[in-house]
Amino acid sequence: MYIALAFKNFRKNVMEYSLYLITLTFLAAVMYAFFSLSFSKIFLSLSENLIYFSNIIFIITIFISFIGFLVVRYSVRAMTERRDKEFRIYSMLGMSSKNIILMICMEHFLLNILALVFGIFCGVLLNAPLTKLVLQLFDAHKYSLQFSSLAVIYTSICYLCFYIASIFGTISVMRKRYIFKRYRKGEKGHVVSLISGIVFFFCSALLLFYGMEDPEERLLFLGIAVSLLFIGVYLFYNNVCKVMILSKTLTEKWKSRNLYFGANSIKKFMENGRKNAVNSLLIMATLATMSLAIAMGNIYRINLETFYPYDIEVLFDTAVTTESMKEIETYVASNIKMQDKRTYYLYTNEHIRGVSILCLSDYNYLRRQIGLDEKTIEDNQFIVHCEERRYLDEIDKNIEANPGIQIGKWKLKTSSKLIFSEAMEQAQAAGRNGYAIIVPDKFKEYMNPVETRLIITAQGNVAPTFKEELSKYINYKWKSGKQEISNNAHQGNGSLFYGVVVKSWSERNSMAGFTMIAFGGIYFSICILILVGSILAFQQYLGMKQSITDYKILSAIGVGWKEWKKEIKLEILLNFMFPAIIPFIEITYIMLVLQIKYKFYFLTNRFILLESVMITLFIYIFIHVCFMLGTYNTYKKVFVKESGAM
Amino acid sequence: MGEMILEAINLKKLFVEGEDCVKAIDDVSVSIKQGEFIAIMGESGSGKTTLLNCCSTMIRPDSGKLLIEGKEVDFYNPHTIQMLRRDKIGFIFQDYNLLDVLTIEENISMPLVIKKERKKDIDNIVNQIAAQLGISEILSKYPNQISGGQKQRCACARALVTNPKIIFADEPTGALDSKNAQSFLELLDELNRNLNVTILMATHNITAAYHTKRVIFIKDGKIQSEIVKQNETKFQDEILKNIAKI
Repeated sequence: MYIALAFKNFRKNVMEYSLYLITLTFLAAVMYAFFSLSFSKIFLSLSENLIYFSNIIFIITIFISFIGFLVVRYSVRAMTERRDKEFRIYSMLGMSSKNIILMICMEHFLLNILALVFGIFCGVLLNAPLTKLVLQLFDAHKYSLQFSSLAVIYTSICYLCFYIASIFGTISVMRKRYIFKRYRKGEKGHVVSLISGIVFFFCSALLLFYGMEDPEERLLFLGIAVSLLFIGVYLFYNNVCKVMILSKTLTEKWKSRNLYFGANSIKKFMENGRKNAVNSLLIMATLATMSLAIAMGNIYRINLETFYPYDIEVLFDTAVTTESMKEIETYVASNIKMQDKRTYYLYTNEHIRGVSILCLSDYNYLRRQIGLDEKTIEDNQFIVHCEERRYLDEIDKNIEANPGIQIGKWKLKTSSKLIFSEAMEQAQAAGRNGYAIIVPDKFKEYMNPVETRLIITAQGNVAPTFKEELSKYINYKWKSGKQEISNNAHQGNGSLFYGVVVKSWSERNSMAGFTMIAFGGIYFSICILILVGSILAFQQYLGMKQSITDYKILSAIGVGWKEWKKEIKLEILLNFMFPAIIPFIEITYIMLVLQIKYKFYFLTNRFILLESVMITLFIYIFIHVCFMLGTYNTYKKVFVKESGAM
Repeated sequence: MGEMILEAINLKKLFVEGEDCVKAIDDVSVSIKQGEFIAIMGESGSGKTTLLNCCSTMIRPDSGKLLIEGKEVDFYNPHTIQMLRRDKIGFIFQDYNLLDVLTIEENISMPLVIKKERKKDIDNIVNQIAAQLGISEILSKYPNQISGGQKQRCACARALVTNPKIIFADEPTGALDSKNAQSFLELLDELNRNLNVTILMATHNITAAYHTKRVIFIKDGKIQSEIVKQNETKFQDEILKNIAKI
C-alpha cells in the first residue's frame, strides 16, 4: 500500500518536485561528464600528468557532495514542510511517523533514480563538447563518443549520499515543529555591524591595492584582504535589511508605494538575512574560483610560447666537446627534420662569481630563434639579460654602484640601456637562474666554459615521445666512453647532470597541470553555483504557502493576478540577484587590481583577468537565469493550481 | 430600498472530483436592492457559501448570469473582476483573513492603496471608519495582537473603506464568541440602517438571521423559501419555521 501511495504522491507532486529534480539532474550530468573525462583513455593519452586529474576530480567531488548533502537536506525539508497538512491527515488516520517517513523515502528514491538516469544521459551528451574543448587545448582532434561505467558508479555513489541526506531531511521535519519567527522591532547594533562590514570592504580594497608590492609579504596581505572581504560580506548581508527597516524614511516610502508587497519583501529579507549572507559568501568563493581558473588557463596558453621557445634543447652541466655534441646532433637529425642547430657554452670568470656568461653571437642566435632583434655592443661593453623581475631592481642598483666587470686585462662597462628581459630562458638556455652577462666573442679565450647547450630548431612538429627517446640515447648509448663524462666530478660520483627539453612534451605536460587546476576549478564552481541556485529556489518555494493565503485575501479586495505575477517576478529577481551584487563588484575589483599589478607577467596587452571575470559572470547569470525561470514557472503553476488564480 | 444592486439569474455550479459530481447550486436566482440586509440560511453543504461566492465573483458559475448595477459580469475577463472587487464589492471572511505583515491601519488602507488614492485621503478615510467601528486605538497594532472580535471589526472596516455597493459576509460570526458575535451583528445592523450599506450574509446562525431584513432559505442547492421582515416577532417565528423545514 505504501509503495502505491508513494508512487501516486510522486506523480501528483511531480510539479513541486521539478525544481529539486532539475537540480539533481544538472548535478548528475556535470558529475558524470567530469568523471567520464577523467577516466577517458583519449584524454589520458594527451599527457602523462593528466592521470592526476581523476584524483583532483575525486577530491572536489567529495567537497561538492558534502555541500550537496546540506542543500538536499534543506530542500527536502522545504518540500516536506509544504505537505505538512497532508502528513497530519495521515497521522490523524492512524499512520505511524515511521510509515510516513518510509513513504516519503520511497518518493525520494524514485526521484533520485529518475534524476540519476536522466542526468547520466545528459552527462554523456555534455561530455562530448567538454572532451572536444580539452582536445582542442592540446591541439588533438581524435574523438569518439564514449560511455564510462566507472563514471556511472562514482556518480551513483554521490547520489547515494544525496539520498541519505533526503532521509535525514525528512526525519528532521517530522521530529521538529516549524517555528515562525517574526521580527517586530529593529535591533541596535545592526547599524554598527553594517558599518563595520563596509569598513572591512574598504580595508580589503586598500590592502589589495597597496599591500601586494613586496613579494614576500604578498600572500600574507592577500590572505588578510580576502578574510576581511568575506567577513565584510557576511556582516553586510546579515544586517543591511534590518537596518533598512529601521530607516523610517525608507519604510514610509514603501508604505505609500506598495503596502503589502513592500512589507512582505521586508519581512522575507529580515528572515533571510543570514541565508543571504551565507549564499553571498558561497557565490563569492565560486566566482573567484571560476575567474581564476579561467584566467590561469588563458594566461598560461598565452605564456606557453615564452616558456618553451625552442623545439629541442639539450643541456649538460659540464663542457662537452663539439665532436661529442655532433653525435647527438646526428642522432637527432636521423629522427626528425632539422632546420637549424647550434652548440654553445656558458662561461664563468674568476672575477665574476655565480653569474653565467654568454658570448654575443650565441646570445644573438637565441634571440633570432624566437624572433627578437639582434643586439650590438662596443668591445668594452657588456649586456645584462635578466628575466626575473625581482632581480632587476637589485641589478640596477649594482650597476649604479659598480658598472664594470673585469675580464682578463679588460674592463667592460654597461648601463641600464643594455639590460634586456625578454623571455628566452627555457631550461637555463640563456644563463642559470634567469640572468646572464653577455660579452663580445673575442673574450671567449679568457673565460672557462662550464656548461654546454645544444639548441635545435625542427621543421614541423616533434613528437612528444622524442624526449624519452633522446634521453635514453644520451644516457645509454652516447654517454659511454666519453672522456668529459669520466672527468666530470659533479655530485661526487662521476655522474653527469644533463637535461633534455622537447617543446611539444613540455607544452603538453605543463598544460596538463594547468588543465587539471583550471578544469577542476570550473567543475567545482559550476556545481556550487547549481547548489546555490537550488537553495535560492527553495527559499522562494518555502514562502509559497503564506503567499497563497495572502493572495486569496488580496484577490478578494481587488489585486489582480497580473499585479501579483509582477511582484513575484520582482521577488524572485531580488532573491537571486541581491546576494550576488557585492560579490560581483568585489570580484571585478580584485581582478582589476591583479590585472594592473601583475600585467608584466601576462605578456599580452589583453585584459585577461577582466575577460575571465566577464566569462564567469556570464556563466553565473546563465545558470541563475535558468533557475529563476524554472522557479518562476513552477511557482506560478503550483500557485495557480492551489490558489485558483486566473 | 433603492435601485437594483445585484441580480443573479439561474446560477448553476457543479463541483467535479474524479467521477463524483456535486451540484452545489442549481438554477438559483436572487435579486438584491440598495440598502437591503439579506441572510442566506441553510445547513452545511446546502450551497449558501457557493451562492455567496458566485454572487461576489469569487468563483465562476457554470451557467447563469450575474448582473451588478445592471451590467452583466464577464467572468472570463480578469480585469473586469478585478475592478469590481476594487470598486463595488466588499468581502468579510469567516476567519478575518487579515494580513499578518501589516498593521491594522495598513490592512484597512490596503484597498485604497490598491486603488491608488492619495495618502492624505487614505488617512482621513481610515481614521473616520475606524472611529465609526470603535477600533481607533488599535490601528497601530498587528493582527496577532488583538482579539477575534476586534479582528472582525477590522475586516469589516477593510470591506467598507472603498464605499462598495454591496458587502458579502461569509459566516462572519463563525469564529467569534457569542458576546463578540452579538456586538458584530449589531454593528452590521447599524451600518445598514444608518449608512444604507447593502449586505448579503451567509450564515447558519439563527441569531445572525434575526438582525437581517430578508432571509433566503437554501437546501440542496435550490432556494426553498424567502421571508421578508414585516414584524419583529413574526419574522423570528418565520425563520424558525423555515429552518425546521430545511
